[in-house]
Amino acid sequence: MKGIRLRTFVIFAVAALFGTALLHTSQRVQHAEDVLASAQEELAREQETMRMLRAEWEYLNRPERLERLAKKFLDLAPPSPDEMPDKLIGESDMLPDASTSQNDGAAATPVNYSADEAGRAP
Amino acid sequence: MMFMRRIRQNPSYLQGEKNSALSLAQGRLVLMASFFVLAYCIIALRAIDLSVVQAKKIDPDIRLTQSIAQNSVQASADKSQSMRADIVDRNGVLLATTLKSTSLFADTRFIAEPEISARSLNKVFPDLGYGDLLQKLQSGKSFVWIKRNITPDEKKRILEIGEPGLVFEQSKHRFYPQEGLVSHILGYTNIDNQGLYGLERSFNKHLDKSDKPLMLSIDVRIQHALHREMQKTIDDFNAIGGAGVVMDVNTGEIIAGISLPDYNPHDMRKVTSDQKFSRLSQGAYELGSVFKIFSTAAFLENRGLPLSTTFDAREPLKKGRHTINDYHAQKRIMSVPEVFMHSSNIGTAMMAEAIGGEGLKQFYADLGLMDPMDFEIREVATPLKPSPWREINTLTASYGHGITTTPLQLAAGVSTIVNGGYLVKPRLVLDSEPQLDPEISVVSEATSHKMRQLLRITVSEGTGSKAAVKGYKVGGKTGTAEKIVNGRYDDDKKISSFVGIFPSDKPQYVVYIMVDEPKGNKRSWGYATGGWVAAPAVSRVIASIAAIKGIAPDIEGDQEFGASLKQYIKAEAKQ
Repeated sequence: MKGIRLRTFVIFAVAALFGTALLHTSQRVQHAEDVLASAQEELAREQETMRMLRAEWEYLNRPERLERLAKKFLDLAPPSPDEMPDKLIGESDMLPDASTSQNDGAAATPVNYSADEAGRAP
Repeated sequence: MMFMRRIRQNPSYLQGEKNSALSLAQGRLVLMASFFVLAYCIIALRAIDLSVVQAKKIDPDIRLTQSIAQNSVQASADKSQSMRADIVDRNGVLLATTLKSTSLFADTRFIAEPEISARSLNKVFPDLGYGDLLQKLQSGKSFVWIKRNITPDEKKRILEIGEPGLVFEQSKHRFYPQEGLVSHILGYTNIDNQGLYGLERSFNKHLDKSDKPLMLSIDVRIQHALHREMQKTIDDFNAIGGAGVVMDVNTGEIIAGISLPDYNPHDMRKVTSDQKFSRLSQGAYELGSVFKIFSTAAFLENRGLPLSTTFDAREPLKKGRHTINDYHAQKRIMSVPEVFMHSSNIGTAMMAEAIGGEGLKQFYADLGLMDPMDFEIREVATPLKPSPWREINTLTASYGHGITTTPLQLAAGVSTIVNGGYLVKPRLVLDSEPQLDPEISVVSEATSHKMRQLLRITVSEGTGSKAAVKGYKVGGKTGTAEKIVNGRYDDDKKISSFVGIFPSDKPQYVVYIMVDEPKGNKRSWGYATGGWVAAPAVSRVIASIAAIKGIAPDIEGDQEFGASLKQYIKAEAKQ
């Protein structure tokens, strides 16, 4: 009778120990899953924000708009061949570095734009 | 029954039975009790875990959204995979992209107090009237649109209302940051993001599946320059439309392609069929004297005669009941360069006669002018050719009448002639490897060289002088054709065009601009011909390309190229 009781308690004690360990592990797994899910969620949100911001950036950097703003705010114009000083022509090494690299185009120069311009973005 | 009989027969047995039964029951009770104790322990532990351990980590609000998030992460991961791919230009500038948007609708069956909800909604969207909103919320329908494409801030404020009948729907829509600038090439999609026109249509499956952006040969900066100059020309000459293309002569890559009027792909409801129609690839026109580039090249290639060969253009050429006249009549005997630079129909028709109908037809076909083009966009016109092809058709086809083709095919044909003679096809999608096929040679390098000289001298001395850009050795050819109205050529309705190449000694780009029905103005002395309308626009586009691409001007070699042809030009011809 006593032997049986002792054995039962040992079994219960071991079961309780395993149960606690299992609970602990499952809690850790759940916590890790929570962290993963929030990280993935944040990643997805950031990626979506990036898409949105990129689209807005490209929209604000339309060549047509940059040209309009440059005309309004800057005293600069694209070089015209007629205005090229004769001494420069034929000596191409005296010309400023031509911008022919990738991604140098419309998207390259940030321009100050007024608040109403920015407000028209999508 | 058996047990009871045994007890009655033997009472001592009952004593022992009683003891063992009691201890058995006791054991079972302990077992049960400890089970319950354990169960309560687990519940207590779990309660402590939930209320103490996990509560410290995160506050309940976030937990709630997180468990929702956890479910939606998988969904959004699936969604981002099926996001229709972007389209970018050759420098990676975004031309088309897909954005997520949230739309709000109401399931009015779950709305308890429409008045309060309508008032709260009205605060978020002041532009939607309270009355309208109330009417929608009281309609009793299970689905009523409140507003499409709402902002994240608006969404937050609607969540704060806490009305269960207001439901959000995630959707995706196609966005074109350049708006209408590349409209006819990109095309557009329907509300389900399925391509209906242009590249969106022809690459529909690819865009749906691919996770990489589709890179085009277009350069938006040059596209804009072409658009600007064409719009200016159309406005100045009060024209009904136009088409323009900038092409790389060596690869056939379309650097810029415009058809005007164009449309805004974000709002397809208001767009007319004229706006949708691409004059660039869907419009086949009689393009006039620009075809002399092809007939002259055919003459030089097939007949092997020198440039000094002369043609008698003193009298109009009579064939049956047809008479061929010169627009810029010189009324004298002219050499090949003179015929070309003064754009003599008579001289060119004589060249065509020398080539023969079959030869000319074959040559045009080799250049890809006679058949619908093999192109990445499906909206292409079928060129019209005379049927049956009579002798007179050979003569008129030599100067671009009685035969139609699309502006894109013309630009590709000119590229083929000037790049050393090998065939190029117009293409829009930039692959890692250009699809060059130098095997197919249409004209020899020698003919190509002569043609470049002829084109150069047409700009430096002849009808195309307005296309000149100092330092860039522009070559080119004018073309003016009358449109057919009710079966007759109408003098007032012209197709005026100019095709330019630069630099003409080693061409990089061909620029073609065609203007539909220009009317002469004061500055052009009433002229609405290619030389007055399209040539100045081509000149401005070339100047812009040079500035954008950073191509240095070169005056030194200017006198050299094409100058050797001057021996064939009579002194009186040079005004």
